[in-house]
Amino acid sequence: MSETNAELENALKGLAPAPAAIDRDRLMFLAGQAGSRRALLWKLTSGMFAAASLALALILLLRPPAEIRTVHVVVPGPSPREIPESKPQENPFTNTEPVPALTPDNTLPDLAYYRLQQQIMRFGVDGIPALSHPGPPIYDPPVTVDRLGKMSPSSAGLNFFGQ
Amino acid sequence: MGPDQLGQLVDRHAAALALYARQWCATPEDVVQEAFLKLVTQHLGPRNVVPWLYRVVRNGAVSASRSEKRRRRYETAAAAESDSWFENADGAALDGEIAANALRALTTEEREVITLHLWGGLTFEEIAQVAECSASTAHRWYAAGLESLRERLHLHVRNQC
Repeated sequence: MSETNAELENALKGLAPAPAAIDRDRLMFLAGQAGSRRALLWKLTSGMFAAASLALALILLLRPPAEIRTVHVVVPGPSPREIPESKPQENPFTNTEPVPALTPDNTLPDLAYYRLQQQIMRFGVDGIPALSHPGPPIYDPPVTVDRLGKMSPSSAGLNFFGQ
Repeated sequence: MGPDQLGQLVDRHAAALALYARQWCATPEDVVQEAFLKLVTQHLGPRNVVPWLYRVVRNGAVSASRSEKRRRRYETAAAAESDSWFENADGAALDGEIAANALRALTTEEREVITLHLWGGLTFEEIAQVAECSASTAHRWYAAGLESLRERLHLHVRNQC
């Protein structure tokens, strides 16, 4: 700081601020009021806590002695009925297709095809039973004029009129 | 805080606090009184009472100024008030009114720092806490304001001669 500024500082410091127009007595009175208000708040707070502590102490002292109660609780075990039965092992070859229902005239349908299908599903193609009574070999004699004359056009496979 | 301690604080710092608050608002005495009352209601007193008082006065003065609709108008009104900033003492090297006019011509920051340092007696670290700036910035504002004051007061003295 230069010497000139130091002189200026001293000159400015020599100026006393104008006295504040504060009523000192009133300020002290208000300060006392504010302080007493705060003291009252603390007194109220401490009084509340003291009263609460006293009430809790009275409750603790005057409460009846603890009564010992024995309670037997019967816990029922699971009944055999409630034991779940083990599920039967599922047959992997079980067919989920529904069994054919009755025919409209209330008779059983032809179950031969159904049985054969079930058998194939269960045992495969090799499970198809062999024919127990194979029929005689079919002999188809050659077609001759005489046979043609005896055969009807439909059985002979001829239809000259397109019918 | 006891009444004796409060009385000493009022006697010692009320005038400087009012001078500080006068920079922002037209009712510095009310702001200073509120600051003292706030100090009394503090459960745990502040560590540094004087900087704390200046901080509270600053906030109160700025709030009082903001409460007015037109701040500029009230700053002008406050500056134009007939209340003198300084006492006119016979032994003073400067005229109080001239010094006050020179101070009014400074920027707000420069005037604030000079007021806090010269009449509040605060260090630059304490000024930095009050004015919410760094100590170096406060010192820079102080030096600039003092230089400006020196020029203005020197010019004024030269014109008077």
